[in-house]
Amino acid sequence: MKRILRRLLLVLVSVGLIAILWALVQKTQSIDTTAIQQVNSQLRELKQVDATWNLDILRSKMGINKNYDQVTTPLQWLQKNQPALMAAVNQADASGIKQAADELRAAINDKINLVDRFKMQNALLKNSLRFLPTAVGQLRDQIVAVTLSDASIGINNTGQTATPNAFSSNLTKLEATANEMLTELLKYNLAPDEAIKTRVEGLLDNLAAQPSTSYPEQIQAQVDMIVNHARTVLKQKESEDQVLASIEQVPITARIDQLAAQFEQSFEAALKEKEQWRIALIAYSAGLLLLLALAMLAVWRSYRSLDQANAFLEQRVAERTRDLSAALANLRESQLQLIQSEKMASLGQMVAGIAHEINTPLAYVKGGLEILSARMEDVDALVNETSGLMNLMTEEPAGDEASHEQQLAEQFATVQEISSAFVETEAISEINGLLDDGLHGIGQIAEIVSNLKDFSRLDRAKVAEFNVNEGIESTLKIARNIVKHRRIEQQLGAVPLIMCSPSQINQVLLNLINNACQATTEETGVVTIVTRPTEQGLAIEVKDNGQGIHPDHLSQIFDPFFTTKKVGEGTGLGLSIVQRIVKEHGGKITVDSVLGVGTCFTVELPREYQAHREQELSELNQGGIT
Amino acid sequence: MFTPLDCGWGRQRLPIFSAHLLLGSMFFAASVSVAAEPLVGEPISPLPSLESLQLDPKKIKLGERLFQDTRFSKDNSTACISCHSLSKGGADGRKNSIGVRQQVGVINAPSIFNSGMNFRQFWDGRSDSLEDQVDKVVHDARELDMNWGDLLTILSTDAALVAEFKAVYPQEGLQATSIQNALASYQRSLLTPSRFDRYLLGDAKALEEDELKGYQLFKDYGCVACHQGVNIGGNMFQKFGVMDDYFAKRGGVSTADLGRFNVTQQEADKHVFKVPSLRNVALTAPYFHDGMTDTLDAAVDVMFRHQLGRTASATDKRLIVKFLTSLSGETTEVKP
Repeated sequence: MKRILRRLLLVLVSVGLIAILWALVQKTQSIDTTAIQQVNSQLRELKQVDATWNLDILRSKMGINKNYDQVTTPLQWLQKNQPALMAAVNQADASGIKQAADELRAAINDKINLVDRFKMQNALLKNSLRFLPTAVGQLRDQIVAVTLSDASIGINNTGQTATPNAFSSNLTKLEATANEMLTELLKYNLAPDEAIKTRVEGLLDNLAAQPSTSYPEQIQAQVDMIVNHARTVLKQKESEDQVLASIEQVPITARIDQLAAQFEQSFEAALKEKEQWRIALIAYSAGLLLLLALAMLAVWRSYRSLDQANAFLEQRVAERTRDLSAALANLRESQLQLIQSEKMASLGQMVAGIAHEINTPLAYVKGGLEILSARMEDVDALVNETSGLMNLMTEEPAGDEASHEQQLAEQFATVQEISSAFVETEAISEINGLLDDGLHGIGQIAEIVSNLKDFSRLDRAKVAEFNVNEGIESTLKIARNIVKHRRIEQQLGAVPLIMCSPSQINQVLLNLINNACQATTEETGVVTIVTRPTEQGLAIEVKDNGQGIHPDHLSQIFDPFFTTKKVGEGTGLGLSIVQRIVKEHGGKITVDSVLGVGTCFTVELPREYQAHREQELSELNQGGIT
Repeated sequence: MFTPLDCGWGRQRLPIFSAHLLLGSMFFAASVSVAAEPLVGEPISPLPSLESLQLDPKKIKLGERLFQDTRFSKDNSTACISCHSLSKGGADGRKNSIGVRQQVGVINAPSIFNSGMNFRQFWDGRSDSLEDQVDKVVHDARELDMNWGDLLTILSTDAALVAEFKAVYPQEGLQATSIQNALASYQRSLLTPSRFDRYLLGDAKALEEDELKGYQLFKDYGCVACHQGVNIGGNMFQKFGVMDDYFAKRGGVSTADLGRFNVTQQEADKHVFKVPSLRNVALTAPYFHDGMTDTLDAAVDVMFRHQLGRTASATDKRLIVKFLTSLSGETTEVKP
């Protein structure tokens, strides 16, 4: 769990570092100059549009433009281009730009409104200016018509307050005033001047003033119309000039330049910032590289420590191997010791048997010799008395013959008595018998010793040609103490000589025979020993008619320390050693057992002794009977 | 006095504009230009060809559909076409239009025809684009009384429409902006070239003699001072009653009568209105923002009195009216 968390943390930190790197890279991405270029080109275009606009306004004023469509085209341009421009403004995160844009927009709106006003005034001015000469002409025509008709009427109509002359002079004056006014107004239109304007206004006042005698209705209406239009011209001309002046003053160009400058400034600021980010990126990259290098160092270190650990591990393994080897050696040693002790146990058993075997002939050799020793007093007496007789007979009597004779007789009787005792007791034959017995006993002992020698083959090479049948003979002799109460049936076949360690094979035989005897009872026990040649060599069977081995134990009987005997009676190593010896000879040992019927051990041995086993065998022999 | 001219023909010949008919009108200019040289130095310009506007036919078609869609109104009663009938000169022939929930509008509906040629929209010029005009009409409580949120909710259930929008406006899909653009595109396509346009393009026989005389008078009297340009108006503001107070005479001044003042709040803009286009003027009675004038003759009278501040003979006025009838749109043979 902790490890997972640590890994997660590591991953998060890595992702974070990469994200920062990515962000920095993004920050240092070259600035999109197309945006600023687009803005610049749009602003340049706007400047151009504005200039054309001004020109079109002037053209409209001067009547070169026949309509106001041209004056409205900037609106279409704005409609089309404003969104992009505004987007650029909104995207530029600079208050300066926004303010400049707002100011520019305000200026443009001012101008649009002023132009709208201009169109209104210009249309009216144009119409009135255009109409006034016509209107004045119409007035003239009307005056002429009225004067003519009045002149004809005036003769008949004397009820008129004014004289026809006065009436016509009024009209003539009116016409003249109207004409003057028109001239002055047109002058004013061409060159607006306060003085002219005042004059025009004066003339208009004159025109508008009710004359002493009222004009005919038609003429009055015409005059009113003229005054109305003339006043319109004055008013519209003045407003138009003001509007045009205002239009001129709308600082669109300045605002465009201001906005462009703001954009430029922000662009430069962005460049500067980008440069800073670039430096930051370089620093960060350097940091990352350093971190990476550290990480690699750490990895390299950990690899190295791993190597060291490996080396240490190898060392440890070697040590362990050594320890294990030592332990194995110890084990082997103790195994050998165990085997040795088993051997010593067998030997002890054997020695006990042999001692018993030797003891019997030794006892009666000793008894015979003791009897002989006792008989030797009689022989000694006989020899001494006979020697005394001989001396009496051969020596010159030194005295009394009689006594001598007497002595001689006496001596003779003694010798006779002893001698007859000898004959009577058949002492000589008894001595001879005792000597024979003694010799026989010694012969027996000599035979036992000889068998022992045969059994252990101490006088032979460790591996030698061996007759198994002879081995069985000598083993049976060695084990006489054990086998003497059993019926031993030998069915020894014509087996070949085999190369083996005779002492070990004898040990095997002794062990098997010993086991067979122990498995049977004294009265009924029959141990059958069979030898027969096989393809590879020979087979030895040791059968008994004992109680058999329990099937549960069959698989364990070759295990070391497995025994069913009472504690102290067996080591549990016997069969284990037997199996080992047989295996080391390249042979095999099998067992058949039926509970209550008997057991049969079969040992198969090859003719040739395997050379590669020599070593193990010699090891085995180190603890052997040597 | 003269009797109203045979205004009937214009109505009969007025096309039921649709996308395929509009294609016909695109060829119109081309077919005439072959005939003769266009006139120069005239204060009025012929309509551009639809082709030159480079509109997207798919957007036009989509806009045409929306134009007739009553889902745009709150009570599902009113569509754009309700007040801008193509068979009624692009308006509705009413003094004041009937909007959502049968509400009566405050101003006379202007013609939808050639509205793309106007420098601003509405009588008071409060919109400077058709897109914005759509937005204002949709929201106007008396007109459609809608809002984009509700409208989009309603329209987005129309899978076919949504799919079509996605096809025509791949980036936006069905949005307020795309709806506005589609409707505006359709309106821009609604051009009505007239015999007078043919005349301007050099077809001397396109106008009758009286009409030609009327045009000359139109210029001489100064009507053309305001009714000029490609749309014969629609490119400037003017005060209504500049030479003689219109409202004093009419009486009952309403907010709508204040015109541009409602937008700018400037005293000088009181009673200032957008000069309306005179195209199809013979088909769009009643006249003026208040719809108080029923006939073209009367309208011409009003103009003479209040705007020109002059008088004219009945003959001259009749000729001028005759000229004005030549401004009604006409169709040519539809080319396959």
